[in-house]
Amino acid sequence: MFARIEVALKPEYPDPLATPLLRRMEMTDPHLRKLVRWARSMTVYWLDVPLSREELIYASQETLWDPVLHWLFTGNLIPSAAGKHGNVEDLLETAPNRPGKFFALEKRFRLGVTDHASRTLVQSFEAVLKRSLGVDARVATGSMLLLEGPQLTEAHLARIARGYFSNELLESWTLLTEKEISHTERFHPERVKREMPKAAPARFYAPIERLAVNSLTNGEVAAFCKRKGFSFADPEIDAIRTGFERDVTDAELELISKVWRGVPFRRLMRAEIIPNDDARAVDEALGLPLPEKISGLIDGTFKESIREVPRAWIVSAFENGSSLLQYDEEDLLALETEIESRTVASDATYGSLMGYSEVYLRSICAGRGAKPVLATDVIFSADLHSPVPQDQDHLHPRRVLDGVKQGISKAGAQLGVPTIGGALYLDVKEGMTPVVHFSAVSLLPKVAGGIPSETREASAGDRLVILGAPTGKEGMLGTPNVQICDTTLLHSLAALVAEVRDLGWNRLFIPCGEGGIASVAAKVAREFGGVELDLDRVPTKISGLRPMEILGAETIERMIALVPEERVEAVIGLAKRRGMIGAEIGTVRATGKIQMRAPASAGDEWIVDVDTKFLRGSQPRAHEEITRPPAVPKAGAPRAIEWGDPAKEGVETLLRILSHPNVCSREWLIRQIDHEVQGTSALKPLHIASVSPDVSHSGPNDGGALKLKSQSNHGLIMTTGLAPRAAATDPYLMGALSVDEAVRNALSCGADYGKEDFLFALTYQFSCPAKDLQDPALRGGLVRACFGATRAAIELQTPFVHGSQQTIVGQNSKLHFVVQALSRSLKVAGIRSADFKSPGDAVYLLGPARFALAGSLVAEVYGAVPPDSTSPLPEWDTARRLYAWLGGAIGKEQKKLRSIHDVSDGGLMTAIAESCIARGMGVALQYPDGLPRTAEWEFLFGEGFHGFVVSVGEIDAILVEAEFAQNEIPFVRLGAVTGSGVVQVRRGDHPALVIETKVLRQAWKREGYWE
Amino acid sequence: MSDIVRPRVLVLRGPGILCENETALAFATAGFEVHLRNLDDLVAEGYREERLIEEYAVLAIPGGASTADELGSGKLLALKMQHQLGWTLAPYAARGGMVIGIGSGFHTLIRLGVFGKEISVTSNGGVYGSAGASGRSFQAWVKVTPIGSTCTWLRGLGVVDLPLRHSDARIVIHPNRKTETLVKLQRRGMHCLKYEGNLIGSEENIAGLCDPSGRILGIMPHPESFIRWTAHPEWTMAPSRANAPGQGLALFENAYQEFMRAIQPPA
Repeated sequence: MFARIEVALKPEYPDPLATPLLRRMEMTDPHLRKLVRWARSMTVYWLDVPLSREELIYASQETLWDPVLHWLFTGNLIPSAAGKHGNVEDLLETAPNRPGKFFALEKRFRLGVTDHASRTLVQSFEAVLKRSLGVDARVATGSMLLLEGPQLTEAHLARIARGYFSNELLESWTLLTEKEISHTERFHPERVKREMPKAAPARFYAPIERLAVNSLTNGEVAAFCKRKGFSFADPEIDAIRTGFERDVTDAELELISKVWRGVPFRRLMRAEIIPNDDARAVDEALGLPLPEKISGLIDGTFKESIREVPRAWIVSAFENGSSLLQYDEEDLLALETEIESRTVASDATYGSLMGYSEVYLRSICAGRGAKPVLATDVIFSADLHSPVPQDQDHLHPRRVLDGVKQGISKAGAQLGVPTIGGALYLDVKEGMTPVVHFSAVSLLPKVAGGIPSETREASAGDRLVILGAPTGKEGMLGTPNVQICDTTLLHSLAALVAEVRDLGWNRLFIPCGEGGIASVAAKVAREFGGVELDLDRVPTKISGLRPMEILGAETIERMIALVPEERVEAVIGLAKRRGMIGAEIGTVRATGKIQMRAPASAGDEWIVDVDTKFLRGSQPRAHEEITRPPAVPKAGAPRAIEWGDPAKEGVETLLRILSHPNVCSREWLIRQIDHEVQGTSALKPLHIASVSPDVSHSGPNDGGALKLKSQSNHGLIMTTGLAPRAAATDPYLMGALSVDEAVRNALSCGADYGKEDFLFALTYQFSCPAKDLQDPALRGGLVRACFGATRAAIELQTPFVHGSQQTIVGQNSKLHFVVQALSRSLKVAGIRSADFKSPGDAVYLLGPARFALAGSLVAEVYGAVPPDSTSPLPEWDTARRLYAWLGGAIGKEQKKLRSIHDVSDGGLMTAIAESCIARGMGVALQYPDGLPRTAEWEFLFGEGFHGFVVSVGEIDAILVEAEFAQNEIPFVRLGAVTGSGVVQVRRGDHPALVIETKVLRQAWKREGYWE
Repeated sequence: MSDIVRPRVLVLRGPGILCENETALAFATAGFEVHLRNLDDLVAEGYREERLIEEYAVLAIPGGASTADELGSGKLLALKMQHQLGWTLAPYAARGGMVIGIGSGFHTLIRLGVFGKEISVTSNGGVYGSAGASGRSFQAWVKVTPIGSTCTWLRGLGVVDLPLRHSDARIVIHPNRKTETLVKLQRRGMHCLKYEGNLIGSEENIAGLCDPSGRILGIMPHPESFIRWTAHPEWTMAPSRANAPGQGLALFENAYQEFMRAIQPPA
């Protein structure tokens, strides 16, 4: 039976789609917003189900109708389910202007895009009717946006549809006039029948295409590859020609492209990098010069940190699968990272959801199966005050960032992983497309089923079992590059992994999202000797998929389990009970080959027969020369001040910094993303002064911490380091500062540091436009950043253990470089927050205080630096001592610290202000008189390495100071916390900066918006 | 249940349920023997309410995002419980069982009609949906205050701080039957927990409802997330209390005490 059902919230309730849509319009296109006087939305269902009319009415009432909340418009199916008219007139009557001029936009998913709500509705009908509806039941979902506005034109409505209502990549939309809205013709079964998604074509296999690679030119091969959706560089085509003495199938080329994927970065990662003299040079105080030749960027940098700083708690790093670290006697931690830009460009919400889902999938596959316990997102976006884009192809940054936020928020909420320790960086120079760097940490038993979790073993004869969702065309040529991930299925997949692991039924789980089955096959063959696949046994969403598509599709909600033959049936049975597919698709073989058989209908022959040695060893290694990027010239005359007396300009400077997009409150974002789920939160992204929804009572912490296990007293800490402004001075400095900031933030949160058995690991992530990799100077900037970060990691004895890199789209030339620190506090009571706690507490600046203005936020705010300003330099020996004291390796009085906050963006005064804001504390501080002018600015607002603001109870100050002196830790006692609510800074005997904390708070709260 | 020495709790798990582990931990900390079971397994077994009565002292429906809120949070779960398992829960409570639904587990109880047909809850509604009455979808810690003495779970509690997640889910009452519904809730002691301040626009500040027996509790904030003091946002003010229990644990201990009282022979 065919039916259309429209579900509307009663007008008493805020509309979940129209209300935020209008708000986004208000923020980004106020003129367009003014033209819309009223808007309401409805959810629309198109049904083709094998039910009687009575069954359909019963099932619809039980599943879709909540009489408290809803009106149902069904044509004449259920006339009693709406108001007095029983149709959409009920809703239109609630518009404030009657008679008005009404329109409707209706959207639905395009064919091939996964519609999860339709699956849920079918499941609900089946639950209500206690029987299966069979494979013929079809449901499509969409929504209708009703709008009223006498001046709205078709052009305006198209702008609303494209900019706010739908994503044309994934959804189609139509415009309905008032007459069409009021008419019941759209409920007619024949009309519904016409509008139902067309049934999938009958299963068929197109002939497998073979390429006579030995008789074609590179150009002809490249053209063939382009038509198929992948590409190879000329040396790679030569390598394929050499490796095959026969024609190559399109499936084999798909396999090779997946294994050699990420051509621009892959080339650089594997390349022999030759820096010129200028690119090698490094300030002696900052680090070491680059070597004359670098064999592979990652191997020559981040992996070097492990060779220099080996640690027993590193179980595996930079190897197959996730990096594994020993957390305690029983459990390991697994790290995963992922960068999304292209998908976010296509749809900010679904792109972010996809990135999160990908990293989640990899996390649950870690070791022999793991539970994600922590997620982190670092978002780079254009400034929220950017002008409204004038073209259709770009959405306003607020609109895009809002989409990113929704995607992350939904993913976190639906997958149940707390998000902590991330960052949002807003840049006026950033392109319109955000870049999101995802990380995830999962927990897994050290030994599962009697086998150490890091063990990767399989035997010839073990089976490959695909679990999760059926394979679609996701990621293939001609499909949207973003997919709508099924987070419910992913979460069920995680539960299945734990069950199978605990039953000891599997050997390994291998994620099957990015790279698809091709990538899994290559991994299995490389690690375990060979693999044979039968693509005809892979369950698919739609019939008619070609072998190349089955091989290459990147449907995320899938994994492949390596299972002993005798356990296959049990694993598949359990998967099916959990509502997902399970199918045996291949076997581990000792052939040294990847072999895939075509379906019988296509000749039952080998369509892939590739030697694993070819895949692993034949990709040519490039030689890449690099130069040093020129330092960005200093801007002209300062815009606002002439670097005058801080006593006169300091207050204004502080207020401008606190309201700067990259310093001001992130509460609007943080509170929309779940950091409490799993009940493990021990240090939240914000400290608060009271349990109250009033945002005025919060302030920033330097990271986040979790108490993962009830029976353990350990705290796990995640922090981020970023120093993008330093790239203009020297990317090497940026890399070093990023590491130092990530480490500083961890120490501020209470991390243990300074002993070899203290877990303290770093991850890197970097991304840039592909075109940047073609430029020797920009390429050189990236290489220098990696070396700077590695040198800092070695100096601080904190090795890199994991990372990822990605090319991005829609950006100006820009290197995004992120360092994150994963650390531990053996006693959760040692975790600290950044807020000043009580009046009378002594306030100190810890660290060498060699702050500088070059690359600082105050320099950005004022558009220039003083002529005699310098760049920050580290003091690694001092840092190690200071950090070891803070981290509990030396001394004992660090336990008396009542608050700690690192000095970063905006310098010392900003750190002090941020420590005061939440509780409305004041401070009475003093700094030395007689400093040169620039030094004074540097002291108050300069930035650099190794700085902390800490507070200590007055009674403990003598003991703590004695320990500073004993351990040669540089410190300055600045003054004390007061209850006055005034930040008062004196220079010598004279007041320099005096300002009420509540004014600082107002400035800090300026940015952002709630959704 | 009289032959059970240690009370047993059935904590549901399944598609969209996220908080089963912390809920299980809260019950275990309070003294329960915890059984985590997948709802689909119960359906496959045909696990009727009679067995639930015989085997478990408490049923817990944890929070999460039951089937991603596509039909309304907790809806599919409620349909499965109602139609495939035949659970209504009133007989279970009448025979001495206790039930707690937390967050979207509370939504499930509402969809089951435990608190009457006039009560409902607004929820997200798909990936692009958001915003309740407050216009915000956010998580924060809130103060909640028990009302009356009907609810067994809240016995003896004063004002407590608890985390609230996805606060756009707010309790609503049928607009045409609001007055009589409120009278009913009050008369039967069903409005058992209220928010201090109206953070999310929940009608009558409803943070929790119980059935007239007081043994079935639906609660929007998450007590299972506050069973240790370090979860509280202000705990770093007093690090010496790091290992103290959180205020949320009291609910689970109340359930334990209730069970122990029930099995004690009369004096």
